Amino acid sequence: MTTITGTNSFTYLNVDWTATYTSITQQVEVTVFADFETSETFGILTTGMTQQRNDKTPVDSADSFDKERGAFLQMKETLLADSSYRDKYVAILNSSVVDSDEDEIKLLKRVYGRFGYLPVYVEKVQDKTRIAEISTPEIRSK
Amino acid sequence: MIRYASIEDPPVPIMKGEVSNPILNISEKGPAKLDTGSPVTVIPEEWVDRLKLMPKGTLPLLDFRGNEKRHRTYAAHVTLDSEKFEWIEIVASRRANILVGRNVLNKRKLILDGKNLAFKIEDP
Repeated sequence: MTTITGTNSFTYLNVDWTATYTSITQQVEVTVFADFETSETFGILTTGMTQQRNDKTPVDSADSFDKERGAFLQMKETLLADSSYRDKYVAILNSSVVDSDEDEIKLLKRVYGRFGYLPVYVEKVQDKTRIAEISTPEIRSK
Repeated sequence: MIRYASIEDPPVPIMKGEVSNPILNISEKGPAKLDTGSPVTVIPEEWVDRLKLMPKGTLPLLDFRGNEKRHRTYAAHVTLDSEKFEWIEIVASRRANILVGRNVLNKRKLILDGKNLAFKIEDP
């Protein structure tokens, strides 16, 4: 297992970051300095920096978003059993519930204000599964 | 009343549309087709990158064939002509225009005069 140390500066989500790598192994550890909430954004930064070092591709928000959704699914039964979350929208960031509200928009605004514009997973804690039907076939003219 | 557009056959109620990122204020403009058959508003999939939209959830969608596919959802501002609807849930798909669903249309009074190929959307 290789260990890399060093510093790096980059821009992500319109924010300039300086990162100090204390150890990059299979378990990535980073220290980040920025005028931002830091402790709860490590997962996203880790993804970004790993990709920068390995394949030079831009940060992909999809990976971290899928991780947040997976965390919600794992927590769902526990959240359903908790009256403080049941029938409310919860916001998942770094695999944890960071906020909740009965109003989804209020929740989104609060979470973006607090953590920045990040791929936060928001879903209502409820038994039923929401399915939307878009039943209109599209006819394309040639 | 606004005339139905004849770019489709049969003609269709279409307005000038604009979708914008609620945080970054980037926007894209395009024709907005009104569709009471759709529960959510749909945008062309390439706009997600252009608008730098962050996903905020997922939604299983059933198409007209009955096929189910889970789509990412985003929150964006949607403007129809000059009226702005804020923090609207949208999904993206391979399409050329905006599909304005009931999550926007149900906020207004929509009169479809199909016989005269004209429509009106108002806030009573």
